[in-house]
Amino acid sequence: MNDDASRASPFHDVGSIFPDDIDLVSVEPSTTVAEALRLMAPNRYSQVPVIRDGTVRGVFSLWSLAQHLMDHPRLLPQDLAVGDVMENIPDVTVDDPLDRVLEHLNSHDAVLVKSPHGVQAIATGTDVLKYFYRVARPFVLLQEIELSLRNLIEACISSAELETCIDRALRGKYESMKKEPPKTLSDMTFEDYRSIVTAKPNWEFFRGILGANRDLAAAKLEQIRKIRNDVFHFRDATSVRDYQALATNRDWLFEKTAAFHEQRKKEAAK
Amino acid sequence: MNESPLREQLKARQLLPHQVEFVETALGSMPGGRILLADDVGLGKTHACISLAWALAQNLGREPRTLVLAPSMLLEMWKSRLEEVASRDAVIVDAAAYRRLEARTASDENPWTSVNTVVASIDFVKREDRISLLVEAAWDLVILEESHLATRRSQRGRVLRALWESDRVNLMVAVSATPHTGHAEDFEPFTSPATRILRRRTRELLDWEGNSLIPDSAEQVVEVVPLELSPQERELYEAIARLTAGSETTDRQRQFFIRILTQRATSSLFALEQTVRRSLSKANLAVHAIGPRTAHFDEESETDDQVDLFEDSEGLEPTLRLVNRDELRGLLESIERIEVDTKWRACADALEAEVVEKNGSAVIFCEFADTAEYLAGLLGTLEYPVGVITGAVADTERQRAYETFSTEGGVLVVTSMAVEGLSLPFVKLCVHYDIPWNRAQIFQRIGRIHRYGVTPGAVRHVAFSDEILVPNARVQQQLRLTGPNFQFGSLDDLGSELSADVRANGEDGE
Repeated sequence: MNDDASRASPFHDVGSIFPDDIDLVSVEPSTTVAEALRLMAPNRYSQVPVIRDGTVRGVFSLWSLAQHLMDHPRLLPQDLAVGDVMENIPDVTVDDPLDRVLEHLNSHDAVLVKSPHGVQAIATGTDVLKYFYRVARPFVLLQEIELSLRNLIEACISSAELETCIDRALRGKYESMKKEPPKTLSDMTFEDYRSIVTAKPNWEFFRGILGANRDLAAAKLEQIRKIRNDVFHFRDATSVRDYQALATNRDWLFEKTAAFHEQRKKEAAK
Repeated sequence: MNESPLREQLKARQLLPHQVEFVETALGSMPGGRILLADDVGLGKTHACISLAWALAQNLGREPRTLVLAPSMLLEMWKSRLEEVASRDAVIVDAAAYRRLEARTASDENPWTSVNTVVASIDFVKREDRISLLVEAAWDLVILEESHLATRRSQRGRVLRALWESDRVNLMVAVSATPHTGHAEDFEPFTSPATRILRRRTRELLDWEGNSLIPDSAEQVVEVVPLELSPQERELYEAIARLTAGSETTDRQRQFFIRILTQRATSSLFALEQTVRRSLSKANLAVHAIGPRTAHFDEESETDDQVDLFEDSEGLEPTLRLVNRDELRGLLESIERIEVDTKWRACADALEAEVVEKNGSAVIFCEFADTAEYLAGLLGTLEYPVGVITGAVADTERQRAYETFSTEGGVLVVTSMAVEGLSLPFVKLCVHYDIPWNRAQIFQRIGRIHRYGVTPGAVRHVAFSDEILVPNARVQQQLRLTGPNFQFGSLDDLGSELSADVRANGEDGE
């Protein structure tokens, strides 16, 4: 459990799923099914909590409605109040471990997040998916970026040229650490790729693909390097801007890779 | 002079006479004291407020229940200052932390009473159902920073009034260097006879020895470096200028977009490139659809300009998608043809002279986070320490960057919006990498550096002009730093100029 309410805990719990404010949509037991559906439609909610006097009485869901209509085939939805068709779903608190939600989601569509002060949220599979996506996305983008940069370097220079590039960009740094510089691209770090590409004398090999302006390319690779360090050392939460920067840089390399293949195709056709 | 023990203690804590006067006035106004602290930028209002929290604890003989409401990017700064200066364990309460407080308090217990020293963003507490619980929780001391943002008709204004008018708040301080927005109704809460207004000007104040806080000959000169653009740069800038000239269309969204492009282009090649790329990018749509948390986006910013400046607000992207892709691709190609970024090279030369040769420290101001990151990226390959602070930098990282810069020097790159709360009196070189479109940002920039104890003229200010997008005349006019009449941070100049700017922004959207 996370003792100081404001400190991020290393353990993922139910509270981590919801970093932001939530405007919880709820209904009263006497709300008609039609009205409830109208409230749910704009956001395509599948369920809403039914609350009276500050206490949850149940949850109205599309599934509970379908079930009720199956059991009472003569009833019309417009005659029903949500109180007639609501069901009970499990509840958890923000301090519970995340696994608890996943377990409940095996047998239910949603889980209530409750506190002594009332319902705080409804956790659905989509919320959990979004959470995992948020956590995993930077790693996936960094993988795409690093591999595509490696491929571009490989495609732009011959193995003899690679040796020259290593001598110019890496040898000094590695020797000052009393080490031999890596010989193959797959043994190198992202920092090594960045140094190879942006070293002034090496730029002639890459400018055809990455653009005339070395500073612009260097700034992008430096930006990635910094975010990569933060991500892999688990420093601070990845900010919106970091996401954006990774996504934009990923697209930049995607575009350059595509342009490179296009160019190769044209050359081959000649 | 016969001095009270409190005054002696405050003096020992490095408070200046005007800060001690504030603490004494505030303590003397209890119970029910209401103070508007509207001193000039650079007079140490934050330090005075935190010292008040400390002095109040001495007076009460217990830890006073304290609530600080500040812009979200300053929360971490307040928390750490409260810990350092007032030895207080402050808790930052945001949406997630509040849910945890709710989970851990009984149903008949007010969650706000379970924490004693709270730092929160006004935008978090402004929700209708939260305001009443917050007020009911009763506070010995409430500090509301940047109170000018709590305009009457806004939800923030409701928070201000609910606390200001409550008898459950024993002492409340509203802080702002620019308390008057130009609208009388926004100022109304402060017109009650119970309110004490402290609005001191730097030039009127004295230190403990009776010396003026600023020397008489306050003169600050800015060097405008003319840029010799390459033909490729010239081509790009002229293309942007043509867009602007041809934007007399009725399509307001296109006009808005061109304005953004121009602002970006005058900031840096990278900022322009990123905007163009982002608007062409598909991957971003996924980021937006899935909605990672938007930690520092200030949804109630007053003018369009500020929304823009607030670092790529989400609201921007849909507008960008309305623009012709070929046009954007053309710009991108022009950008990629440019071999040398002349402005960056000129900036690097200025830094070389100050930071490398004289071992001094320099700050670079710019308007956009993209530009800040670009410069940090380029500086990152040089020898000296480099920090970057933007509105998007996490609070802990911001604090780290600031501390490293103040102890080790080097270069700090800061966006105008992120400078609030920083104190940089040790800086020797100040590079205005771009020129703010909003004059208020200039005062924010200058106010960080020209603080008490800094001799005017001791800081070198540098700006750039390309004569296409940024004519020398505009730099001179916007910065208006030259001449014997300029006195930094004066509320007279500031107040009237800001009101004029607010009006100008409202009318022609400049």
